[in-house]
Amino acid sequence: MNGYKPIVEREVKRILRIWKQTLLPPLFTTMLYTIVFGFSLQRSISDISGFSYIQFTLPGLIVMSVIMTAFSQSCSTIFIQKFHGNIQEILVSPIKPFTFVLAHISASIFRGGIIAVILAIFGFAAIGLPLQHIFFATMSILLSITLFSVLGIYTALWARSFDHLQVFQNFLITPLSFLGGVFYSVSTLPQPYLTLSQFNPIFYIVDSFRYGLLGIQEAKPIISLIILTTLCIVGISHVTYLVRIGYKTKH
Amino acid sequence: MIKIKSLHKRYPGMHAVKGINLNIKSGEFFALLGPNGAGKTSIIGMLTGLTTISEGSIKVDSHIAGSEEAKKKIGFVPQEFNMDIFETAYNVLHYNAQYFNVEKHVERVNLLLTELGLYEHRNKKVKELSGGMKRKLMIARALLHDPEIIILDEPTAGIDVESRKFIWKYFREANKNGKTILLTTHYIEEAEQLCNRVGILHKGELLAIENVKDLMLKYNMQKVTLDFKTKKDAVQFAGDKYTVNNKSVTVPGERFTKILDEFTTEKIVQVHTHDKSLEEIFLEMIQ
Repeated sequence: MNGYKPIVEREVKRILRIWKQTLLPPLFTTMLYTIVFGFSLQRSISDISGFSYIQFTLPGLIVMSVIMTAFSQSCSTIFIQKFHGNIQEILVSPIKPFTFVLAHISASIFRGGIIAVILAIFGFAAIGLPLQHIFFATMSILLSITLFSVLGIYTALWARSFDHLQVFQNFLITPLSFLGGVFYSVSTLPQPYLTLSQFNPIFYIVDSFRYGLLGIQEAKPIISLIILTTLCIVGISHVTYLVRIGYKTKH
Repeated sequence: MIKIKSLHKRYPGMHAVKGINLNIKSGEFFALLGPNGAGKTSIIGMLTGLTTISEGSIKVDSHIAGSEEAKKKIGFVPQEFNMDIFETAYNVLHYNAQYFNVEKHVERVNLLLTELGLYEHRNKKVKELSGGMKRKLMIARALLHDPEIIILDEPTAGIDVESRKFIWKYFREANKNGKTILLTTHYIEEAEQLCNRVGILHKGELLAIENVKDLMLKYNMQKVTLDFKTKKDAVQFAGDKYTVNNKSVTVPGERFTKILDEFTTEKIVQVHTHDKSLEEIFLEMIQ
């Protein structure tokens, strides 16, 4: 695992050095969402599966925040290395492509993990959010960070300008998040949207994390974890291959 | 040490390297000379693993270029600054040493910072360093893992004379200590001063590979400059064949005897001979 430690060390120091950019915005945004969607709307929305609207929504909001953070962590740092040219330091070194990918996923886990823990504590303290199944809560967060960190690496490799970075975020992650049952129960959707939701990975992340916290689910939680694990394995394998062949990093 | 065989590099709409064959021996100081677009950086890119090979092969000892084993043997100083400008000089070396799994890397980093005169600037961010200091930092970065081969792509471009001389001295010493060095440069004087052999590259083809001294002999590089009493005499002598510089005219050495037979020497004040520079040879060859 030659090269793993310095990449993670560099990224962790960078995350902590510019914490106002890396940690504060997702925390602030999620808390704002909680106030707007939760406290103000819950009076007019009835309980869902025995939980208040704010309790039902917060797990999804945490997931949204965590996946955005994981995506932007790997995406921005690798793209900036391409932009400044210092990705060549990695390309001329004997670091294995898999180590490079793993180190960036680890850095995303560090950053996304901090966001998840702080927001979960906020949920426990502010709205009495329960923690029913810690294994499912933890695994769904780890797998979602991994999956979206991999997507961030893809985007950074593919992108040629800062505008390209926004494409995945605006046209893939945000729509999938909103269609993944963050603000509502997917079972309330009419066909064909109900069936289409089964193809949305964010649905499985939100559902399994919500099961971990609230103990309620729409898909079988273990199936959700298997689907997410499969997506992670396929994603890591493919992105490692792209790094190995120098996709858009070698001329 | 480095074996390049039938090497081609094709970009969309461009054939940048056309079937290069080149062997660089262990301990050599070899220069690749060529104008912009000759294919120097493409060859170096393929050697270091930064560029994919379209056809042919490069071996570093017995290892395929771009493999982990080959990368461990190479230290690369690129033409463009390619460091994280927000990191300190120390951290750039600290991280890169670990990419190469350098043992006792703290000592190694401090040694190189000291040798290259950067120790006092170790806590400065890269963006705060001068051009010369950035170049020295890139050199230190390339030497962290004590590579057998050092590849220098225009190492002294855009830096002051003092830094350039320091870098020349440093690599001359490194070569004496057994390092194999491959240099590309626009400063032909640099190749003349430092290298054993040069390869002249033009439009992706290797026009010549020669020992620097042999190249000069082979192309009969001695020149004769005739200083005339008046500019009028110089112009009359030069005719359409030669260029007049004030009252002087420079002619190729092999023409000198014939010229003296054809032209009166009474109007000549002084005759002096000198060798053609590598630059002049280079320009003649690519023309």
